[in-house]
Amino acid sequence: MSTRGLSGLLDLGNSGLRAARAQMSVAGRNITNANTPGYTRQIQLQSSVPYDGVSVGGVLRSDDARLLAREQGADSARAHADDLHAALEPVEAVLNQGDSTLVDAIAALFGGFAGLAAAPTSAPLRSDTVQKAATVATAFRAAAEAVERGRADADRDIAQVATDASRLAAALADINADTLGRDADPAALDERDRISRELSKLVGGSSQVGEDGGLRFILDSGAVLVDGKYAAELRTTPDAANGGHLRMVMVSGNITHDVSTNLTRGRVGGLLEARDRVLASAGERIDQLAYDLATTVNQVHAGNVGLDGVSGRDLFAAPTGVHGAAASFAVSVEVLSDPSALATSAGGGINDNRGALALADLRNAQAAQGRTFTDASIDTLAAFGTEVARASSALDAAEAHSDFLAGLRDARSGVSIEEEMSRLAEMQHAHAAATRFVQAVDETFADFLATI
Amino acid sequence: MRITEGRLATLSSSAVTRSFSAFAKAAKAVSTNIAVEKPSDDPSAWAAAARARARAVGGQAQAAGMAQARDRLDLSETALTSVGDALSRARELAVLFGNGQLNTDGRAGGAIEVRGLRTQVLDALSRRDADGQPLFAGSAAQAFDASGTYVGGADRRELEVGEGARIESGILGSDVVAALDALEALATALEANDTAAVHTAIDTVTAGHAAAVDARSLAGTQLDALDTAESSRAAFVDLFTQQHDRLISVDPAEAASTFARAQQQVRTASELATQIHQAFST
Repeated sequence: MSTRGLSGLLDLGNSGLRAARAQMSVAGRNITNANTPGYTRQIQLQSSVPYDGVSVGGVLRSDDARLLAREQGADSARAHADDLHAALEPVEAVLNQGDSTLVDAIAALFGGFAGLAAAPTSAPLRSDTVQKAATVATAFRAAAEAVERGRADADRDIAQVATDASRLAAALADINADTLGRDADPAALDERDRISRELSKLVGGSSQVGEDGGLRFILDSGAVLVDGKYAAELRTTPDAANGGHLRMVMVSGNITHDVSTNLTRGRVGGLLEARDRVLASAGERIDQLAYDLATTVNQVHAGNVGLDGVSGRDLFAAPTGVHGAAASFAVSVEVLSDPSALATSAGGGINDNRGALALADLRNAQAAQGRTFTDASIDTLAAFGTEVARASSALDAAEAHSDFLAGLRDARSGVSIEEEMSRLAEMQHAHAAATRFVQAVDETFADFLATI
Repeated sequence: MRITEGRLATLSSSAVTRSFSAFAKAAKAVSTNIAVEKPSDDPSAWAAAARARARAVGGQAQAAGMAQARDRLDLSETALTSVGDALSRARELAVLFGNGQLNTDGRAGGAIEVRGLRTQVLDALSRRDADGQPLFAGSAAQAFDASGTYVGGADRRELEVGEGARIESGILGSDVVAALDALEALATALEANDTAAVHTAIDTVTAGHAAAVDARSLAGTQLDALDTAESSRAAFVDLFTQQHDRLISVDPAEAASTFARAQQQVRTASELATQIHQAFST
């Protein structure tokens, strides 16, 4: 058994005071940061030193690297679903706006042809039918515009994501530079984790902490965005092969990688999926429907004869191709300016209504890629609705998963005021006891001095 | 599992937000009675509703044309009634002048009246609709020339009165040209003071009258068919409008029950949040 003098006992008491103060300091820091987003509960390490009281160690962050990785994955999935849904929802609203959707407009046009067959020379019915054709044109153009605007908005957001991600990558590199090879400030590590999660929300990817304590942020393609104190930059550039829409590239020094293909998660993943898969597909379907409708109706119309005895005219402006057919959909100038050019006769005179009946018959023609025009328009909008519903469900699921992980994180890293207050009270007592101990030693020392 | 006060606050606040959101959705469903506003609400229900609506819209768009067709038949029927009346009068005259009791002057006067009746019939059969189109010309622009020869089309107009359902509509001048011929024969016989020919013309006029009656009867039949078709069209539109409405509507009982549940959830979540807040405050 070791023996120690009275001064040694003072050191012993002092170590207890230091430990209690350190514990109180950490508890205080935890309490004051209880509501700081991304703050990780801190634990003051201390250990018993045989015969020498207590030794105050470092401050441990109550984090979990595996949980952080899961949260990054959940964050990127949530951001993906959120941006996908946000990109699609307004387009769906436009496609279903008002009483004259594409479906209704097409149905009304064929009904109009059938109605006109009853009185082919009626000026009001002719004007009404031309108006119905113009409504179809307006619906097609509105649909095409909504889809294209959705894709343009996605481009704008992708550019913003690239800027934000580059800024975050640079900030991560800065933190790495400050913490590499040192005992890092827990607040800096919290900030590093927060930025990593923000970066994953933007571009997916994952982070790894190396043995040197530095964090590497790796994109899903395998490209390293942040390595130690070096950060690459994400930029956008127009892609001629994709209609001039933006693709994302990673620029590191003189090297430029195209990373768009593998950016399937995070906000950018959602935006790219919305732009290049869902909206592009909807645009193609709407273009195909517009092309099929215009060419089929025109073919019959051109074989008919107008009130002026002229045949060979188109009802709709002839599309130059499938691509862009919806955006340029219009009633031909001749018919629009003079409804008598609407060709309803099959050549038997102005009261011959067989041309109008032939146009009305197109309602049942399987001329829209094997379906009727009405069915094709319904299928197109329903398919888009299915995508929006799927994105909405994915968002709900991602939010639920994210909430679940937030619960796990809270259990591991969150600050409980109650716990910290208890801890604080406990340390107050410990500090008071240590003080009392020091006082006792001091008094004993004074008594001892008085006896000599 | 360790749960912090912050987490509790977050959970209670999320519960309040979620319950309010569900409450708003339930309240909207109850007040609007609409469950499917857009395709993403329920793609298959929306597609079925859109199909029903498209059929209703298509049927509705035919209404104006069918109304015009009915107007034409009404006008045709009126014209044919006057043709029938003229032929009845002509038959009376033929009988009167065919019995040989009246003298030459009387027959000359009768010839003038029959000529007048013929003009009246020709005018009736040359009538035009509100758009200025001949009623009895088929698809042609003119039914009769000035001499009373039929120059109209040979085909009756077909109308679409429902999805794929068509009926013939309109009377051709050729159906009643016998009336003009009969009046011409009678007038000629009277002008020629030919009692035998006048007598013979009685049968011709009778046949002309029968043609006019048949044509009027056909117009009536077509009107009936058109009225039936119009009723069917209106019923068709109603049926598919109702089907559309049913497909997008909420079940009232279910909506009321969901609303009540949502209301209860809001109360519970709010009370829980208040209690947690009070616990933190103390």
